[in-house]
Amino acid sequence: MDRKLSKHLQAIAGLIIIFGIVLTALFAPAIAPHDPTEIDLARKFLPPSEDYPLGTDQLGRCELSRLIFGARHSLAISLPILSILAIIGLTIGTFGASIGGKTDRILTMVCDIFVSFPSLIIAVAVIGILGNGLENLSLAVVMAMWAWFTRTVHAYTMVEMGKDYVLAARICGCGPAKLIIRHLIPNILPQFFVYLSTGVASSILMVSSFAFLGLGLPHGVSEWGAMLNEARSSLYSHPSLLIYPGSCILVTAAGFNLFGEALRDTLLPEEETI
Amino acid sequence: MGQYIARRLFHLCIVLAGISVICFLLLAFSGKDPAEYIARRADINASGQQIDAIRSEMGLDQPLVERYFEWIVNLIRGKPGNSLYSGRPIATDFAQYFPVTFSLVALAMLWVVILGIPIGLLSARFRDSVADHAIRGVTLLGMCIPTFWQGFLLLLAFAIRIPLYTVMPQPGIRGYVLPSLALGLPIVCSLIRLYRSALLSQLSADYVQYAKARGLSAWRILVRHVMRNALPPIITLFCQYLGYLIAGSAVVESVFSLNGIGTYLISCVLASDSVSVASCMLVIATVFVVSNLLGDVANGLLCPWMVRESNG
Repeated sequence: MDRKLSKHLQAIAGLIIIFGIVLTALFAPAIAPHDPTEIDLARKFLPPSEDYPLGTDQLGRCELSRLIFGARHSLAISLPILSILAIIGLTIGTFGASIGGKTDRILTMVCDIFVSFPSLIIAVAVIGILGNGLENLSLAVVMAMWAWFTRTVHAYTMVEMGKDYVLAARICGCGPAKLIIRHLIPNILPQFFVYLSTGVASSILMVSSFAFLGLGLPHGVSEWGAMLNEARSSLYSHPSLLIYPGSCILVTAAGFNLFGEALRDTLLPEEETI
Repeated sequence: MGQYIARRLFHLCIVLAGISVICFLLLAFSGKDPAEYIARRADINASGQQIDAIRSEMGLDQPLVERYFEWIVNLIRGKPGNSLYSGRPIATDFAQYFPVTFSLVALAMLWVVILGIPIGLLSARFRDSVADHAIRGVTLLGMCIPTFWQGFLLLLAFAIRIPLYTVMPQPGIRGYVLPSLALGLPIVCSLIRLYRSALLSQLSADYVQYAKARGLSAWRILVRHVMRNALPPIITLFCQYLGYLIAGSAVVESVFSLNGIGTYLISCVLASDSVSVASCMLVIATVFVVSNLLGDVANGLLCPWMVRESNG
C-alpha cells in the first residue's frame, strides 16, 4: 500500500510538472514579461530586477521571457516528432510481426542495421547532409529513432501473436488489417504508451543537445539548449545564464520520466522498475 | 558456443555491409559535389572543365556500384581519402582524434564500473531503506540531466568555485577526469537502476531461498551468488553504451574544449565534408556493433544457459 501511494505521488508530481510546462508553452506570449527576441545592448547582463525577474542575457534580452518561450520550442519540436515515431513504429512493427516470414526477417534486419548506429550519429549525419532547419532536425531525429520504436512494437506484438485470442480471431476469419487495428494495437497500447512517455524525455534531451551543438535550429532561437550554447562564453562572469536553461531541460525531462515510470508501475506491475 | 559465435559473426557481417551501404548512400546523395568543392578551393572561378577533370581524377564519374566498392576497398586498406574539412588524409585525422575520444570513453566506463556496481549492490541490499530511496531519486534525476549542462556545472564547481581544474584542457590523464565524469554520470545512473532491478529479481529466485536456508549471510549470498547472475543485462547495457559514449562524446568534448572525434565529426558536418562524415559514421558504427557482439559473447561465457535458450 505504501508503495502504491508513493507511486501515486510520483505520478502526480510528474503530471504537475508536465501540465505546468504545457501551460507555459501554450500561454507563453501572455506570461512572458517581454519580447524574447528584443535585443537591447544597453541593457545586457542586468541583474534580476522587478522589470526583468531573472535579469537579461548577453544581448540584453529578457532571460525569463526566453525561458518561457523555450518551453514552446522544446514541446513543439519533440511532440510532433514523437507522434510521427509512434505512427511509424506501430505500423511497421505490428505489420512485420503479424505477417512473419521473409518480409519480417528483412524488416528486422533493416532495424538491426539502423539500431547499430548510435542515434546521435545518424541524426548528425542527416543534418550534415540536408543542412540546418527545423524540418531537417525533425527528420534527423525520426531517422535516428524509428528503428528503436519499431523494434519495441515488434517485440510487444510478437508476445501478443502467441496468445490464443489471436488464433481465435484468425479462425473467425479476421483479416490481417483488421487483426492489427482491432486486436493487436489495442492490446499493446498500454505498454507502448509507457515506452512513449519515457521517449518524450529522451527526445527533448536529444533536440536540446543538437541545439547546443549548433545543429538544426536557426541562430538566436530561444531553445534551452541553444541558450546554453550562447551563454557558454559567460561561464565565468554570469554562470546563472547557464544554470537557468539547464534546469529547465532537467525539470522537463524529469517530469516526463517521473510520470512514465509511475505509469509503468501502474499499468505493467509485472515489469520490474529500471 | 562456437556455433553461436559463428552465427553472430555472420549476422555482424550483414549488419556491417548494411551500415556501409547506408553511409555510402548518404555520401553519394549528399547533394554536394566534392569535385566542385576541391576545384573551387584551388581556384574560386574554376571552370566546368576543371571540375570535370577533378571529378574523373577522383573517380566520381564512375557508376555508383563501382564507386561503392572502391570506397570500401580504400577504407579497408586504411586510405579513405582526404578530408575536405582539414585538407589532410582522413586516416591522419582519425589517428589524431580517436585516441582522445577513446581515452575519454575508457575513463568514463571506468567510472561506470567503480561507481555503478557498488552503489547498485548497496541499493538492492538495503531495499526500500532511506538510502535506497535517495539513490533511486538521485539516479532518476541523473538520467534526465543534459550531459552538456552537467559538464558546465562540473566546470563551475571544480574549475571556478574550487579551482582544482582549469577550463582549458590539461595535458595527461588529469585533463580527462572531469570530462569523463560528465560523460559517464548519466550512464552510471541508469546502470545503478538496472543493476538494482536485476539483483532484486534474482533475490526472489529459489536458489536464494535455499542459500538463506543454509544459513549464509545476506552479503555472502549477494556477493557470491546473486551478483554474477544479475550481470548479463549489465554487460549488454555496458557494451551498448560504449558506442553511445563515443557518439555522445561530441557534446562533452565541445564543453571541455577537447579535440576528439566528436568535435571533428561536428566540424565536418558543419563544413559539409560528407566523405569524412561517412567514414566517421562507419568507424563509430563498427566499434558499436563489435562491442555489442563482445558483450553477447561475454554473456554467453558467463551464463551458457542463455545461449542455449536463444539457440532454441
